[in-house]
Amino acid sequence: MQNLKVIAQGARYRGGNPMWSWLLHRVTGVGMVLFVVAHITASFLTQRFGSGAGMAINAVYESPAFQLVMYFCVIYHALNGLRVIILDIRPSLMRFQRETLWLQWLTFVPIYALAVLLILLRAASGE
Amino acid sequence: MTTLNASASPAARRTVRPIPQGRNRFERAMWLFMRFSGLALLFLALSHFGFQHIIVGTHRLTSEDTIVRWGLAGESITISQLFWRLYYGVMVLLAMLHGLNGLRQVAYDYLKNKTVYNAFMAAAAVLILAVTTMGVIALIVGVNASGATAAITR
Repeated sequence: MQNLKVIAQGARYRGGNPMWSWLLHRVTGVGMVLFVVAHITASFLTQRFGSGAGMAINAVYESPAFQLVMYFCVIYHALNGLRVIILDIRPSLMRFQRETLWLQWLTFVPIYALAVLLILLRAASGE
Repeated sequence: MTTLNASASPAARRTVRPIPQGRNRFERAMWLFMRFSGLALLFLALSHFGFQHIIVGTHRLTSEDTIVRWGLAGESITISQLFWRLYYGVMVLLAMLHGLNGLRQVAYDYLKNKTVYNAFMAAAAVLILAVTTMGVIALIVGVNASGATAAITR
């Protein structure tokens, strides 16, 4: 109960677009940690031992749905991280934080759209 | 009323975490590490994604490409294979440390009970260390021919 309250407080932290980008950065970051752990483990098992367990994990992230989610995580986390680094180098740009967020989404959309297109084309071709 | 949000102080509006000041050298080092490793991973991870998805294709993850790029265990290694092993070696080390420190910050915010926090971080550190070890072993030794062949023909 105590933990739920803390999480609820954390989820409401400050509010608005900057809050959601901060929260999304966390969620996508944790998501990628879980994926990379599974990815390396599966590759290791497959390569070393030709393991069926490794192949089974591979099959999960070969699915288009998984790839759509993981591409979102990677591209979002990369662009948002880059934005944070730029704002850290030039703190005076913090005045335009909301504008930098819109710019980030404007950059995100075409890159992610291209990724989605490639994933769906591959899925459609049944490769 | 020249500016919007004039009542909020600059500090209150700031949502990017500034570099930790004071004597905490560890936090300052980690703050810098997250920026530098993040920048490196931006290029490493995105090029890995581009290469694997656009050039190789996800549905050939267990294919011969990995053997060509990494080289087989027990065989002498070419310059190109050395490059790929170093590329993946740097990426796995940076990614795992970046992820572990990220988990630490998230856990610090949500796990207020110190015992729970310590247990979580111990488990996370063991998991990350195990995965890093697996990655580094695979890169140092090279692809195991019988294992990879079993996976290809399966």
